[in-house]
Amino acid sequence: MPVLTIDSRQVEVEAGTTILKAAAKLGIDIPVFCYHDGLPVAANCRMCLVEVKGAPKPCPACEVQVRDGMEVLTQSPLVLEARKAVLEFILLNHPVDCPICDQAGECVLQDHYFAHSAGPSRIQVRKVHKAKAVPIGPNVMLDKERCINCTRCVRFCREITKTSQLAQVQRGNHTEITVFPGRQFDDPYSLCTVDLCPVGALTSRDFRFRKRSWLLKSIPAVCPECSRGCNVWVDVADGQVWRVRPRENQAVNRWWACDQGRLAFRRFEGQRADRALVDYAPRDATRAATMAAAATAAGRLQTIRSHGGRVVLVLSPMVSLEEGYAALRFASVILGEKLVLLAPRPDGTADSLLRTVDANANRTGLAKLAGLMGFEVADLGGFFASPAAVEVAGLLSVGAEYPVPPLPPGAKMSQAVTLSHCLDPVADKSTVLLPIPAHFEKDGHYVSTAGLVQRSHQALPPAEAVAQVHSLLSEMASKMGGTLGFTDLPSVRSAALSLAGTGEGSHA
Amino acid sequence: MVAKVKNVGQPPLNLTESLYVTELVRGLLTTNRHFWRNWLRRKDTATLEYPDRKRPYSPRWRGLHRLMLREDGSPRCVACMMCSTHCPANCITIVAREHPDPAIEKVPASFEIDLLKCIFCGYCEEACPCDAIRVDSGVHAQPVYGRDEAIIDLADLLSRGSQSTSKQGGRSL
Repeated sequence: MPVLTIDSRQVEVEAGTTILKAAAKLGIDIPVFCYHDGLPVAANCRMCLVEVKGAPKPCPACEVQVRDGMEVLTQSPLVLEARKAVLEFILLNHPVDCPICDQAGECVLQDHYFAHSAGPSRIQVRKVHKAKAVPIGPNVMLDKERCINCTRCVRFCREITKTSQLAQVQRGNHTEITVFPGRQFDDPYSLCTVDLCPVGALTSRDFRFRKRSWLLKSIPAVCPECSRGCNVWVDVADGQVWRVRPRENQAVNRWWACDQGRLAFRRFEGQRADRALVDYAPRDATRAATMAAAATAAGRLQTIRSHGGRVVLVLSPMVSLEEGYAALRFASVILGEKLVLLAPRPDGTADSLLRTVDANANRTGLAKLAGLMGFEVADLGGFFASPAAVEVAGLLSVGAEYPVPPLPPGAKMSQAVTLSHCLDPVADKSTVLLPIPAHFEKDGHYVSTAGLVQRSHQALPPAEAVAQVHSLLSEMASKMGGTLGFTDLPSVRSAALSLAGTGEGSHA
Repeated sequence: MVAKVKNVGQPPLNLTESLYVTELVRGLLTTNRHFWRNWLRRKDTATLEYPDRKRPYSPRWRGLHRLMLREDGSPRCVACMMCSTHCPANCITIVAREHPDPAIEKVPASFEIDLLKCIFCGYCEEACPCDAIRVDSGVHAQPVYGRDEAIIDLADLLSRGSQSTSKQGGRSL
């Protein structure tokens, strides 16, 4: 393997490695604009120029491969001069409208300017102005004059999603990124170009002007929109989610995430269940009122049970392993059931990059957990069509968002207790609705379609009246004269994970 | 560092002080002296005949905030949130909106300053890249009956605004 020297430090790397990656191995940071680990090399920004002994002029580190005995300088006067010149060149026509640019604070150009140039502009002629605020697609806004022509977005559409919806047109000063005439940039992964864009040329229309980037706090979570289990950062401020970005995980989603998953946090805006409903009448928005409603629900289920009626658990595969474990435990210990009805969301659209057909975050994990706990797993729709459904007098739903199947003729159903975060058709059919945290408001484990166990952290505190599934079910169990054997979330978690014999990052 | 402590004792009363009447008379004499001094309008009177006479302001007095205007009378502010980010009292709340003219692009939909939180430090003015907010109107904050009334809004801030001589950025060079 070739051994080379970078800034007087020796490093041995595989043949074919670029100088940039060899330097990264030594912890030496070479500034880049157009280079991205997930994209083919273009070497057009020239920001990564380094000095190679014996070469006639500086070489782009992102492209040049190492040779044995190569001597590279990344901090020599020539390199520093080259970086300064590249930045001056890039900034010739950049509008420097940072105050109104959404990228400010997380802009690579800002960072490099302060680190490597910080010089005033010497330009004496008018800048070339181009179109601003061009809505090129349903989710992406283009500012042509902020663009530094790194072509990351073009390469993404060409190489990753293979839609080739973006292109570079014109030349010289007038080079610009554009969509084809009469077309829209409606790639299902279009917002990835917003992350890739090192400047504010491509910005998210959803996030536009809503919050400045430096006010956001990022929490690691897992996207619930399909069974892929993409790792995401949830950016929060002032007690609400402002945007969702992909979090690099080479085993799952690499650097990407789909637009649908990123914008899904807006789905329940304005229809969140923030208080308990008993017989469709809202209770106070307090924790005590929610617990009182849970006691009411417990009393009703107890009445059914004491008359020999059957209460069946309906489990949404959107809930976490912890919530699923608490629900299954309640069903076996308190309801005496060995049947669980999985109520999935309808299938979504799959594609070759990330999205899967199964639109449920945790179906793999919950099905396995139910099997390990000795449950027979059936589908809600299928069960309702069977004769056994007629005898069921009560339903306990944990999680919602599923299509409600019609009741079988002659059904004896009298109570439907639902633990849900949203006011959807399931809530409309429930006699008691108990509010639980939405996806980004809870800490839990999810199993992806590939069987990877991943933890999603709590990004936001839920509303006051909202209670965790395990505390609601513990309360109901104690009112029904039983105990579930756990007290807090860590005890539920350790019980669930030890039963499944898994931990975060392992394969279930 | 150990703080220096100065013990202040309470000296015991002497005979005349403990008699009470002599101290009473002394106190009344002080009151009388001030009464006659004010009555004769001597120049070293400590008080002012407010509101007929007012104490002159310090040249450093800032007064209430204002938002400066563009040539067409619209706000110069582009809702960049620099002022609200720098504000040590966290008293500025701005909501941005899209401007139909892409050359302006971003303007405040609402701009509120909570005067009960504001410490009038002027950092917002220092942070502003557009010479949009100034703390130089010289206008006093009015007393209010409720806390909500102490929050001044965009219209109020613009009512004290005027045109700036500085060039608004973006379309020059």
